[in-house]
Amino acid sequence: MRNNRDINYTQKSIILILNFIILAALMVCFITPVQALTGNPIVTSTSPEDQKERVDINLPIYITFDRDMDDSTMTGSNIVVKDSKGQSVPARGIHYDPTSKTTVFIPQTSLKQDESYEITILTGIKDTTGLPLLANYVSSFKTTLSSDTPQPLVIDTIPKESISQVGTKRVVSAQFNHDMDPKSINTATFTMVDQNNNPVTAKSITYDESSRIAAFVPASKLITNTKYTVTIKGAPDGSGVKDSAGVNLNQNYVWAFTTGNTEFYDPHGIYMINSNACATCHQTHNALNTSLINKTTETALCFTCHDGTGSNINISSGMLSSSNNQSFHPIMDTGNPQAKQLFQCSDCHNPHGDADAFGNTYEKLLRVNDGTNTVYQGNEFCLACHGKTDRKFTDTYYNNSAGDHHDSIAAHYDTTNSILDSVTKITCTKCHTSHSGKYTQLTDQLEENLCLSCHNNQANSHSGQGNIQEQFFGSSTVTIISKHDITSSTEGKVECTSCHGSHTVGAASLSEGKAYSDLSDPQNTKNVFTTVAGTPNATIGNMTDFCLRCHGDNPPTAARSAIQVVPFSIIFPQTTFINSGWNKTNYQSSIHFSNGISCNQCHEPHGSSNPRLQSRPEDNSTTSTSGECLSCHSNDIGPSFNQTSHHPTLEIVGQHQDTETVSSKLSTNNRHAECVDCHDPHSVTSGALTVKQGNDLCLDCHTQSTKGSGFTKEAGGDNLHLTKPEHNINCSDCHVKTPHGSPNPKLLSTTSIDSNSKIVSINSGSTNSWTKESCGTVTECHN
Amino acid sequence: MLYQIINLDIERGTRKRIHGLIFAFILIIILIVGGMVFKSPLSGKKVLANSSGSFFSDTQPPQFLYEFNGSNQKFKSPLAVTTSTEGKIFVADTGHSQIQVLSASGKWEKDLGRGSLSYPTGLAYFEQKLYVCDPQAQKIFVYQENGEELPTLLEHQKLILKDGKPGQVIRPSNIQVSSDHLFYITDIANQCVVVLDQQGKILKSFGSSGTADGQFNYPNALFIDKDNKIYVSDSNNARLQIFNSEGEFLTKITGSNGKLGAMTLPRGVAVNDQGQIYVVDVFSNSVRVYDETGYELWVLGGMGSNQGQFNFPNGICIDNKGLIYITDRENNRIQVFGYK
Repeated sequence: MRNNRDINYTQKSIILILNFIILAALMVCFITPVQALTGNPIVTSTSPEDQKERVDINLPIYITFDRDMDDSTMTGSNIVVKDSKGQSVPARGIHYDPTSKTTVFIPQTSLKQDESYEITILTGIKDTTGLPLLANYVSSFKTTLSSDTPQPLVIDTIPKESISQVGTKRVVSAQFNHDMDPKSINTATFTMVDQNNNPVTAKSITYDESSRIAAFVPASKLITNTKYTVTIKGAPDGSGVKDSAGVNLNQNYVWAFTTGNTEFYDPHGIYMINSNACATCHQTHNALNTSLINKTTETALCFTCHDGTGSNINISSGMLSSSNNQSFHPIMDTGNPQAKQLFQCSDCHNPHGDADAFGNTYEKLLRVNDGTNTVYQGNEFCLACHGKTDRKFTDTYYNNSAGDHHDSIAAHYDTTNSILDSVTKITCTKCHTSHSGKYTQLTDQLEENLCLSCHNNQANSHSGQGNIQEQFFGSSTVTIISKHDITSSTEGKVECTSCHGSHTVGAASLSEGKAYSDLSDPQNTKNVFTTVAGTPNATIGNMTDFCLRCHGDNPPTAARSAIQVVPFSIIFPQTTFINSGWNKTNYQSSIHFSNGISCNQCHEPHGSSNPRLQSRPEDNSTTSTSGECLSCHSNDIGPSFNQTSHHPTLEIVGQHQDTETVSSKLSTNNRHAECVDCHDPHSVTSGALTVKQGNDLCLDCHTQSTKGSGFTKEAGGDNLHLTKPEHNINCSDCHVKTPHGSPNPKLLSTTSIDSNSKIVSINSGSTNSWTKESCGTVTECHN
Repeated sequence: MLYQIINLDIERGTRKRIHGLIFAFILIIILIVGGMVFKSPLSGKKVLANSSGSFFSDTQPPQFLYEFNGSNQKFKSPLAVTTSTEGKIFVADTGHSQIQVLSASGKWEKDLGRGSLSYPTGLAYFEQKLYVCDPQAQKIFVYQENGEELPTLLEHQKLILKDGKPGQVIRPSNIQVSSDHLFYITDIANQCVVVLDQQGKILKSFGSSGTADGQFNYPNALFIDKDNKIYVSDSNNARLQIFNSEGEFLTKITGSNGKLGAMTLPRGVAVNDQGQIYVVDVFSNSVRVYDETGYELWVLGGMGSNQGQFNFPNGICIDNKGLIYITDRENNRIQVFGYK
């Protein structure tokens, strides 16, 4: 019996001991703060620490765990903060940072002073493997005493004190340290006056409880360049603003700022007026993108609204491949394969506002860094990438975009010119679009239209250059017959920028002899064309040299690199008329050239009321002194046509066509002979004033092929003077050597006819032996 | 030493003590297990506070069911979705400037509006016709289900403001039909809600640009419930405003008491049969669900591209079976949530 009892006791003892050991071990698990990671997760610390007093009411609460936790369990139902009355504190946000294994609980509003709080962290919180918190964790703390900061204070303002260049549409706001009584913030306690003490009417005065910001929205735009003084009324008698506990702001808070010229303002203001909205774009501790941006791509973030659905500024539609645009800034993640993957929106824009570190404000949230400096406006903004320094974003960008665009003597560069000035002070954007363009090189208009949009009847080219549009396209008073065809896309091709590099040209004509001119080198429009030797990045030459850059042996072909820009290949229209074609290289050996005549003395550069860009009309009388030839050659040439017989040169005008052929030229109703038929002003040389010599000159027109035109028997196969080489008779043997005119019929020379107007001898004085008797059988001529 | 104490206890030999120890041990085990199994009292209270109707659809958040991304041509930045009573699904394939028509199972059937649509952002299906808001084209297109394009409901129409002056040309962002068969559209040009009859005649409008109650800042979507209450996503003011059928302001939901804090950019909105309000909050990549008092019930989703996560969600609709369709813009797909 005893033995049995002993055995029972021994067995029970062992069971009890084992049970007790398990129990003790479990107890140890509860009590010991250091938990093996294989067990359930625990809280290792909180901030504020348990039992801490005088805790700052604006600090968030941090809870640190011993391992990686499941972010999705960090919710308001698992982390509960209550005040001494058991009221829960709502969270503005609860964010978990896996790096520090810490969760931050940001109260919706600041905590109350003189209050004790209890933090309860519940077992709904799990680690990443799904294990729940071992047990509820409770911690408590007390906040600062109201005796520490009894008064409400203004702790920040927008705009800040004394800043200038404030946008005229800016909302004025002040931030308080306490929760304020919204009713106490009104038109009587939040006021603004201009420098003449005129009050500014408020469109609205609002108070945002979560951020404690009071905002004054003016009813209308502020006046430019005006100082404004803002007052938040504080008064011991309670007539000023007061906090939610009824404590008065005890004295006025006054600050002042000065407006600038522009109305720009914070377009993202609604997202930035309180920090609560930071999470719109950012994560607290970690994010997928840089700058804690909580989205996979910044473009997607910006395009959420800037596709037109949340803003009038629709960037997205122009960036789409379906937009029919031709050129795109390389903005990442637009889904358009034509737009290269290079930049984020924030590379050029500061989404946080239009102010720099000093509170100066700029339009369109612009902000770019050129590698060294931060730039907010002006051409320097674009030059951060398109300036002296190749930023080497890709191997080709600097070449593709024509390298350095910096040229401070270029006419278009000057942003102090009011016509060129813009609110961003970026002159580039007068011609270029920022994001995408209908045409190449980020432009929204055909190149000539871009130029003519300013260079029209506003006559705003530099002094003396007049109305460029009229010079090309005429007007009600000016008819244009010929022009450099800047609109053609099928025949000839030349554009304004072929001669005037828009980034290069200066405001002076070539003849002014300055280091810059209104011309650039058509073979490289990055170079200015000037007569002044020694000018950097210049091609030196006079006006003739300039024209020959295209009208020479090698017309420019399109090129674009960091050192050379030829915007378009020059293509000449078809012509059958011009003696030497478009290539005027020979002009430099012509008598005109050697006498110092440059192209622009006879031709207009843009357009003309005369054919072939001639400055003057055809001469139409023997006494003309202002036509294309006789304006210089009036003394001798004009009267020479004033004789009994003469070439039909001065009485017939306007017959030549650039595309005429010999047969069309000499058709019965189109017979004419103009100066240029015999004299090419571009190639005639001294001693050989005509384009061809001897009979060849005459036979250009007087040929057999003109049979039926009245020239039938004068030349060709029927004319024995020419068909019998042994005769060796030249036209000039009978006709005057300068066949402008003659007192005799048919331009016969005086020495070749007798008193009866019959030919008396041939080429008198010449060495050949022919006389009229040699042709005795042709009695009608040779009597 | 421990052994000695236990032994001493045993030798003193009262069974009560032994039983007491065993009882205490069992009690502790029960407490531990109980603490793991049962929810905290606080979260339990939240569920109870809002329970009405069937247990699953009301007290639990809907779950991700399936997704589709366009079987013929993959969606590109879809912004809106709606369904027909017959179960057809219409997706505003905004990035492709077209509408894709899908069967209930998500199988592609046809495209609508190619060549005429620019940037479709809002859809409504009513009496066998699909109404498509295109703020870029400033039109509301109308399509028959067979694909035939009917005359537009609205086209380049300037709104006449309260003072009789002409406002901006209406840029319709979204459209819904009331039970009395009027079209309600959100207009992001004049920042208001415009009411049209079935011929497209403007009957009235309410709202203006601003932040006060009843004012809007780019209202991007709306929903009309069975009581003709109008829920307007006042997107850039980061709130949902609720109006009665007369357009009088009733209340607003900012979501500031919820887990993620205030809403960031509410866009698509839909209300289910239980009166639970689903709001697509673009920048928090989530769908916020509120009860009619504005209490946040659940947050669906979160940033990502996994199933049930979002990357810039935008539009929402709940079909007559209670399935919740959400356009997941940057993931280029439609996700469907509901109860299994």
